[in-house]
Amino acid sequence: MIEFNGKQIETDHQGYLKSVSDWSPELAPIIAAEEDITLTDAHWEVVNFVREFYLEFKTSPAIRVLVKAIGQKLGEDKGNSKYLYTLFPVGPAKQATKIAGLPKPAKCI
Amino acid sequence: MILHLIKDTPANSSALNTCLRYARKQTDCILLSGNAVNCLLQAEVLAHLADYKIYVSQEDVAARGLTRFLKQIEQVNYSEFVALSLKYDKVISW
Amino acid sequence: MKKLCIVFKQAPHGTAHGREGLDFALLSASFEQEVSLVFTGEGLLTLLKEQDPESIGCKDYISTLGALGLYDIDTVLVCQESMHEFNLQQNDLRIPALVSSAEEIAAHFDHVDEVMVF
Repeated sequence: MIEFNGKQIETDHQGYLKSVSDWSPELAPIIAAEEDITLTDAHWEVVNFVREFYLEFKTSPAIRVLVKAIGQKLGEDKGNSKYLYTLFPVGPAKQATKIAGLPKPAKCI
Repeated sequence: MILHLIKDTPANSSALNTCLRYARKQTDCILLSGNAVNCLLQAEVLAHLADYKIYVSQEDVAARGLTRFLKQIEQVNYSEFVALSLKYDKVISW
Repeated sequence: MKKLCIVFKQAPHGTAHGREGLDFALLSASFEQEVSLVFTGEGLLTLLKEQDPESIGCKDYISTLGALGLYDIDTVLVCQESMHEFNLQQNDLRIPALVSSAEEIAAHFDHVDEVMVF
C-alpha cells in the first residue's frame, strides 16, 4: 500500500502496483525512493520505455528482451545490461517495471 | 518416429483429428487412453485409423467394459507404455 | 539449447490454454531455448487482427504476439488446411507466419526436440 495525494494505492507484497491504471508520473519517484533510486533523465528514459512496452504488448519485458528492445530503440550504448544495471542495481526489469507501475515480469532476474 | 498420445474423445476434443493431420502412417504410432478409447467403437473412426499403428491403454479399456469390443487392437499396460515412449524419438501429448 | 515447438490447437478465449501456451513459449525463449510456434485448427484464430479480449473480460495476451521477435521467436507456422477450413487469408493474420502444409508441419515436428500442445 502506498499513500499518495491522500489516496491509498494498492500494491502486492513486493511493492508492485495492483492496477496499471493507478500509476502516474508523480508516483514514480515515490516507488523509486523505496528502491533507493533517485530518478534521473536516464532512469526516466527506461521507465517510460518499459511502460510503453507494456501498453503495446500487454506484458512486462524480462531482462533479455528489455536489453534487446532498448538496443533497437535507444541505441546499442543503452541496450546492454551493464548500462541498465548501473541505473537499476537490483535488476533493471524488476525495478524499472515496478517504478513504471507494471506487473512483475514473469521471468525476472 | 513419434508416439502420439490421445486422452480425450473426439466428441469433446480436437486432439485426435489434429493428430491425424500430422501423424505419419509408416513410422509413427498413436496410443489412446482415458475416454479416447471410446471412439474406437465407431466404425467411422476405425476406418480413419486403419493405416496407423494403434495402441490402447489396457486399464482404460477394461475399466470401461470395452475389452471384448476392442480385441483387434493392441493393448498396453503401463510398463509397456513406458517402453513404447522410449522406443520412439519423441512423444506428443495432444 | 533445445528446439522446442509449441502447438496452439484451441481457440484463443474461453479457456486459458492459449495464454498458457504463449507464456510457456516466452518463458522458454527467455531461457534461451529455440522456440517455434504452430497454429492449427481453431488455434489459428489466435492470430486474427482486431481482437478485443478485454471487452469480454479476458486477458489481452494477443497483443503480446507483437513482441515475439524481441524474444527471438521467428518461426511461426500456420496450417494451410486449417486456413482453408476457416476461410482465412494470410493478410487476416496479425503477425508474419509461414502457411505450411500438413507434411511441412510433420517434418517440423521431426526436426525439433520437443513438441508441446496447448
